This record gives sequence, structure tokens and C-alpha cells, in this order.
Amino acid sequence: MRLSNAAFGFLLFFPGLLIIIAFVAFPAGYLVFLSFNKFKPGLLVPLGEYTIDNYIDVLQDEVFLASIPKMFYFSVGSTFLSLFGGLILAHTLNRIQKGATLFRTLTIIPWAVPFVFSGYVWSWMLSSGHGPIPDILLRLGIISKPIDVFANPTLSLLAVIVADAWPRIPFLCVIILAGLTRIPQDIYEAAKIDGANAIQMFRRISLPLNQKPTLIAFFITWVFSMRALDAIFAMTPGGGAAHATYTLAYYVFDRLYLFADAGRAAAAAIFLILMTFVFAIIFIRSIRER
Amino acid sequence: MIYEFIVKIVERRATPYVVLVAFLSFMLFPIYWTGITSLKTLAEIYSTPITYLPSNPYPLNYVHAFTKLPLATLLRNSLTIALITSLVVVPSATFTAYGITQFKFRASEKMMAIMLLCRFLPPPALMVAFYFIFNWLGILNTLTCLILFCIYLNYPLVVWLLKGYFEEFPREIIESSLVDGCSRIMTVFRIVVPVAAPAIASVFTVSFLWSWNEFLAPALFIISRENMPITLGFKYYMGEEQFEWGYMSAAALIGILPTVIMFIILQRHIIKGMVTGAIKG
Repeated sequence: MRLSNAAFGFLLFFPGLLIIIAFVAFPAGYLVFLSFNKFKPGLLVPLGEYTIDNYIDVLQDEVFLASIPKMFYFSVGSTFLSLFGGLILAHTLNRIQKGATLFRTLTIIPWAVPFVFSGYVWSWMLSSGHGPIPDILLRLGIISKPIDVFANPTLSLLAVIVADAWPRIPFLCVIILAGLTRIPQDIYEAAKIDGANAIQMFRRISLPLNQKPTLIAFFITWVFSMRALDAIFAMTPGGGAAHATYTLAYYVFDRLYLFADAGRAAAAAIFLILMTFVFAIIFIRSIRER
Repeated sequence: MIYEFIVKIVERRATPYVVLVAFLSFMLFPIYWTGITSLKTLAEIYSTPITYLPSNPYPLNYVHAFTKLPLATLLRNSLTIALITSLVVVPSATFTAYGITQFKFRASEKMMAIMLLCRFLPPPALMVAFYFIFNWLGILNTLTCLILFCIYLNYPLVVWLLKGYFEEFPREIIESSLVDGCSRIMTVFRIVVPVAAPAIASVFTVSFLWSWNEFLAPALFIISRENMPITLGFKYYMGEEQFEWGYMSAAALIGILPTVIMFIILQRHIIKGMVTGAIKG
């Protein structure tokens, strides 16, 4: 019996479908189920009673409501910082020939680093007693006395943004660079003949023609950093000064990790998923239009 | 006036190099700093002013890293998790991606969309559900539950990357093999897999990397110290007991070394895979 092509393909694909059902669909559905459960307070035992109180409690929780803008500040900051770094690296890498491989290798090293390591390293480097960054700033005269970054809410937020952006920069660089190399050299030559200088070529050629990959990488990074938690957890456990870094993802995680409040954890998790999806759909739509 | 000046500088051939060296120094400074600290004695770390080169390199820190911390256990756990996860995910994802892209069956379009959707599910959210599931299965606080979680984490991404690769796979190779009388399944094993080997190796590395670097899941699911992977070790040994930065930095560097090396070796293929996945995404 010879299987049709379609059937053969389906057979190859079928185990994957099972994996998706077991590892993704089932837990997601279970999460929804959990969010409607009542739990013994402080214990992770479902009581078998069902309620929508979890959702109501979460929506009335100030910490939850406050965590949403923090999630946006954080993800926007991290994404733009990564974009900035990625653009610089990509455009400079695009212009060199000698040593390109070496520089590219050096560029992607931070990509392999776990975010938790990034969080710890940056918090060491920023520590006011023996960290190099306050030391350098002091020596350069940029600040007059050492400041405790983590006692200041705004600075703490900036610090976690840096720690989160650092491993993401290589990804953006790589995607942007790949897009840049697809721009045919003839366009640049023609522009040069017409008398364009480097900055004009950058603004009128490099940026616009590379829009699609740049935007895709930008949106992927944004969605990923919206739910990022490792660096924040490492750098500012508990949410930092004045809870400045207590993003929605941290709220969800903490409900279970610290408070053993399964009901709210599940409900907040559903909100996190919904928000992520809304953004993902907006991104996908806006990219399709280009 | 200033504008012309800036343009002149930008157009010089040396400028990209200068910018690159400057920016890369900044980008690699954290790793440099960890390396420096790992070679300093404790006294020097805490002395003022801060030194940027160790005055008396103290490589014993690396020995201390293994004797004063259960570093070998931590590394072994990370290795187990990353290896088993990737060995499960990569072969099955290869078949799935190949099946979706090469054969058009009714649900193939929908399946691709589902894989994309899965990528956007936030892990912290699903962790809540997994906690209960693992608890019910009685495998909390084991490496097994971490492996299962990492399978969930990596599978959609690996399928997505391989899908991008197989969409560009030269059909002629497959067709000529079929014409030569090879069955479809033998074609997969004898022809497709060897040709796709670089792509498969690179997604293996990506999956390995993501599993090795996973921190939140171990933080939530693991309590006993024997079962901690290195990322959780960062938290327990470096987050809390912050005094012994000398050998902790050494341990940290050792902890990130395997993945960095794998990444550097396979960078060309990994980048190609990511780029194809992202640009066609």
C-alpha cells in the first residue's frame, strides 16, 4: 500500500503534532482551567470549586495594575537600546572587509550568555562600592560622588534595561546586517555618482531598503522582552527600589514563587498571554502590510 | 559646517573600525570584567581603588570554583538537561518541519501558523500550569521536569527554524533520488539528513543553548541543590553569598564557556538559520 504524498507528509508531521498537543496545548488549556479554580490560601491545592474571583482579584490588585506600565517601560527601553546597538554594529560591520569574521565573532558572544548571568554581571559592575562603572564615571568626572544605582527606582529600571538589552544586541545586529547585505551595491554606486555622501546614503538607502528585516527583528525582540524576567530577577530580586522593576511577568512568576497564590498566578498569566498575543498580532499585521 | 565635518569623518575608511573597537569594548567589557575578577585575590577585589588588571594573577580561584562550590554537579545537570532536550527536540522537529514544508496536506498551513503562535506564548505564564502538572506527576524537583519544560520551550522554535531551512531546500536532490528508485523514507535518511546536517547541527546548538541558559524553570521547580543546573547555581551561590567574588567569577565563566564556544564554532550556520527564520517570518 503506497501512501499518498499528503498522507506521508502527515505521518512525518504527526509526532510533532502530538508533542505540541501534549506540551503546549494541554498546559495552556490547563492554565485556563486553573484560573477558574479556587485554592486553599497559601497552598497549591485546588479546592474543586470554581469561581471568577481570581480575575476580579487580579484586576483590583494595584500591584498588578502597576506592573503593566512597568512592563512597557522595560520592554520599550530594552528593545530600543538593542536596536540602537544592533544598528551601530550592523552598519559598521557592513563596511569593513578585513577582520570582518573576527569582529562578527566578537559581536555575537553576548548572545550566548544567559540572561541571569547578564543580570548578575551588570549588577556587580554597577555596584557602588567596587563596581567599575561608577568608578569610571567618577574618574571621568561625570558624577561627583558614587550613587547607589539600586536605591534609585529610575536608575534601577535603566540598569535592568541594560542587562536585558545586552544579550539581545547581537540578534538585532545579525538580522539587520543580513538585510543590509541584500541591498545591491549598484544602488550605492549610482548614488555616489550622483554625489550623495555617506549620511545621505544611510538615510535614503540603507534605512528604508532594510525596513522589513529591521522591523521583524525589532518586533520579535519587543515581544520577547515583554515577558523577560531572568535579568530582572537576578538584578533586582523583589522588584527593586519602589518596585520599579516589577513587571507583569515578574508579577505572574512571583504569585507562584513567593506567594503560592495559584489562582492569581493563573489569572495574571492569562492576562500576560493575552497581551502578548495582542501585540504579536499587531506586529504581524503591520509587517504584512509592507 | 558641522554637518560636512561629520560626513567627512563618517566616510573615512578607518571610522567603522574605530567605532567597532569602541563599541565592542563596551559590549565585551562584562566578560572581560568577570575574567579579571576571577584572577584577582579577594583582597584585591575589595581594595580601593579598583584595578582593571589583576596585579598578581591568582589562578587558584579556578580550583576553588570546583572545591568550594558543587560546580561539577551544576555543570553536569546543565549538560544533562541541555543534551537530552536537544536530542529529543531536534530529530522530531526535523521530521515535522520536513513534513510540513515538503508535502502539502490539508492542515499544513494551519500547523505553520500554530508553530508561530507557540513561539509567542510567554514561558512564565505556562510555568504556572506546568508546576501543577509536574506536581501531579510527582516529578517536581527532578531533572526530568526541567527536560520536559525545555522540550516545550524549544520545540516550536526549532520547528520554525527548520521550516525556514526546508522551504529553501533544493527539491532537485529529493526528486532525483526518488527518480532513482529510492523510497520517500529512505530519501529522508540517506539524502535529506546529510545535506541538512549543518542546519540540524545549528538548531541543535540553539536548542542546547536555550536549555542551558534557562533559569526561571529551575528556579520554580527545583529545590534540592543536587538537581540545580548552573543557571540556578548563579542565583544561589552568587546572588546570595556575594562575598567570594574571586572564585564565583571563575565559576561563572566556566558556566558560560561551553555555550559560548559552541556558538562561536557554529556561528555561520546559526546565523543563517536565524536570519532565514526571521526574514521569512
